Amino acid sequence: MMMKDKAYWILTAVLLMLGGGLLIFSPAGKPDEVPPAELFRAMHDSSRFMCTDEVTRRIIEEDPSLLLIDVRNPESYRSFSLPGAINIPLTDLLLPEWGDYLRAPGMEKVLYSNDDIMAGQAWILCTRLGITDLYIMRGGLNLWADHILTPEAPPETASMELTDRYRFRLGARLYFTGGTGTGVSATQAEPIPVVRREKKTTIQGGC
Amino acid sequence: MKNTAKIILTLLFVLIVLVFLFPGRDQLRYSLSAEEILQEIMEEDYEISPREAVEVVDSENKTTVFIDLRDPVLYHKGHLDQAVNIPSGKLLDRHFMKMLRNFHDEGLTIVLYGQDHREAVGPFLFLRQTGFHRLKVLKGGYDYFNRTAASGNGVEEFPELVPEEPRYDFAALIEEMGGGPGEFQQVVAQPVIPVRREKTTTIQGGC
Repeated sequence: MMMKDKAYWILTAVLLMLGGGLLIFSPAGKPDEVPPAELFRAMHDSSRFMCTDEVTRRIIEEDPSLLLIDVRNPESYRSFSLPGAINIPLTDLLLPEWGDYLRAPGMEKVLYSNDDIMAGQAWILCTRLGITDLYIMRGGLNLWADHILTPEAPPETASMELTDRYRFRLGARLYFTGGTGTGVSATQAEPIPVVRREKKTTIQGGC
Repeated sequence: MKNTAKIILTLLFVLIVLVFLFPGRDQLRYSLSAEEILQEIMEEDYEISPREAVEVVDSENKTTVFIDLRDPVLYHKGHLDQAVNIPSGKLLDRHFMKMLRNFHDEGLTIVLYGQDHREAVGPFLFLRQTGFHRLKVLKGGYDYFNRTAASGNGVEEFPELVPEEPRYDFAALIEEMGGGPGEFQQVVAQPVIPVRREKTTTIQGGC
């Protein structure tokens, strides 16, 4: 009987040690955090990027599953941002109030900044915290402006694909700027005079 | 019975000791929380300029090690003096990780660089989160270093590189494209004004 009691005591002590050890040695990370090795793999997966044309197409199509997140500072955001984008400055990225946006189910979140460095940093931090369906707009607004606002005409020998892409970009530019930037439409447009019927009698109106 | 219990308990004990003594020694852990790393990248200067890099390379006492994160082919074409090549996709390879840990344990500052600035930012963020604290990024990467070196003795003269700097004034560009103060707006400024009938008699109107 004594022996059995002793065995139980030892077992209890061992279990206590196990529990204590788990508390001390367990990784500091939160349970839903992505382990470093997995984060590293994700960082080297090029599918984390979304190209400027794709982002533009989805803006124009008013894709409801697209959530654009501008991680620049509020001044830059107020000065210019992509249509429909919300502003989460990188500094405030991890504030709890943004959690609902970043973890919105069924939404594809696209981070952008002027280049893609800040957006890339935001991506790494969010991915570590287990946020999925998160993309970086490759090249940021600088590349977006290169492609969409100042598209380069392909050479005449270019493939259909390149020509189509150029046409798409020209169309997209029209969408974003409201003008062709060439002034051609402006000179052609003439005000249309509205001719109203003239009154024939002095007594008019009524039911 | 007594012996069996003893053996089982001993085995259990040994197992627990083993588990806690060697908790996957190569397994990476986060040493900083996401909030801490964010605060650090927002507040601390983790970049060294090419000029500082040149000074470091030329100095006698070795306090810094440069890590070239590019492809071995590019590395062999040219790299910073004394730089060690660890392609960014292979950072987690056992021997590279061991090498980095050794540098770090020797008290060396690890300076990461890629072809351009952004190539080093991801690896920086990753390593910084997993326990490396004497860690810097060579501003502008190898390209920028080369350009500044090419400017020869006029080291003072090279243009300052600001990562994430907008290359356009986006709002102004859009304004300009949309016509801005040009002809397009003139059309807008001359809206079609319908000519209203003038009242000729005082008795008008309906029921």
